[in-house]
Amino acid sequence: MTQTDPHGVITLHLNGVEQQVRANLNLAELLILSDLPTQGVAIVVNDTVVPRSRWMHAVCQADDNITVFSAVAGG
Amino acid sequence: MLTIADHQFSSRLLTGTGKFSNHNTMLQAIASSGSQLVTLAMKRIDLTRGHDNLLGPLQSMGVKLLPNTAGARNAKEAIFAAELAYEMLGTKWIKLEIHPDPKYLMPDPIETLIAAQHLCEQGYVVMPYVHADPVLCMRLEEVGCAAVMPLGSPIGSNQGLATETFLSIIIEQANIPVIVDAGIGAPSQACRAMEMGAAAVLVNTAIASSANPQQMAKCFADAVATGRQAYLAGLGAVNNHAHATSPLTGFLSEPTINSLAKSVNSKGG
Repeated sequence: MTQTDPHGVITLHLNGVEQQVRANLNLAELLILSDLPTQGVAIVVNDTVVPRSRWMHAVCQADDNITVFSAVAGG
Repeated sequence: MLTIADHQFSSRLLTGTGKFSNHNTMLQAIASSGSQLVTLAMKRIDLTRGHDNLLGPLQSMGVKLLPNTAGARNAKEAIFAAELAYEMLGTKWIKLEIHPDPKYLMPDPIETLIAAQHLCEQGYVVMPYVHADPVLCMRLEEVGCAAVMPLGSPIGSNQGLATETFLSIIIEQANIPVIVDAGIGAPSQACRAMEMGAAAVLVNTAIASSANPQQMAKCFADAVATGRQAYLAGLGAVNNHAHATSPLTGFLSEPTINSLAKSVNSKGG
């Protein structure tokens, strides 16, 4: 169900945590707003990897399931 | 030099970044190992714990990063992970690993071949982690993999080269680098893999779980270099029978020796 209130706030899920953000927020802005790094990360929106070149143009939608991945130690 | 795809490495020791007690220890060990190709994994950032900056220090060291697809349980997930790695790190190099079974972490050969073929077609430099299966390794070479990474024994087990017989066949048949991955628990085992003609080895747990990872990393570096030199020098043939290294024939019947023996005996009496 789409959740957009009259004040332009939408609800989405960021790394499994429900967040309320302003409408028209793009992915690059979402990272900064959420105090997440912009380098060395990859963003997946609703099971699709979004290329870095599109972050500025990809606007968050209500009910989006957004996941930010980073590198971790591994063999 | 070790050549993988279009890249050359002077070190034949690949290292992993997992299981170290902290980042500093890991960085010191990697520096000590001389490794130029270093693996890492990917994970969803935990918003409650903050971001752990692993990349910055590794990039400062100048090592080439080799992201893996650990966690993938099938070809589809592995392909997704490779795409994720490309967006995250800007590299199309990928250590392809698909192991749905968490107990033994045995790689799934069918899903690995499917994913490898797809990723090779997409221009990735694919380095699949596989069982020491000579037929599978040939098939992976045919679909365009840049290297194959057969296991010595189960991941993190430190059991060494349990698959030695099959590794030999893979090495004999391969036209791409064979990098022995998983299970190498001691420098002597890494040395042995290199003596057999492996192009490189990947070591993680044996270094990370040592009481002194930095020193152990250096030991592995030395062992790998020695093993490589021994391979290039050429090992002697293995025989079932003894072959004397000193002349034995007629030693006791030589006149001079006999007279010396008499002399010694008379003085001793």
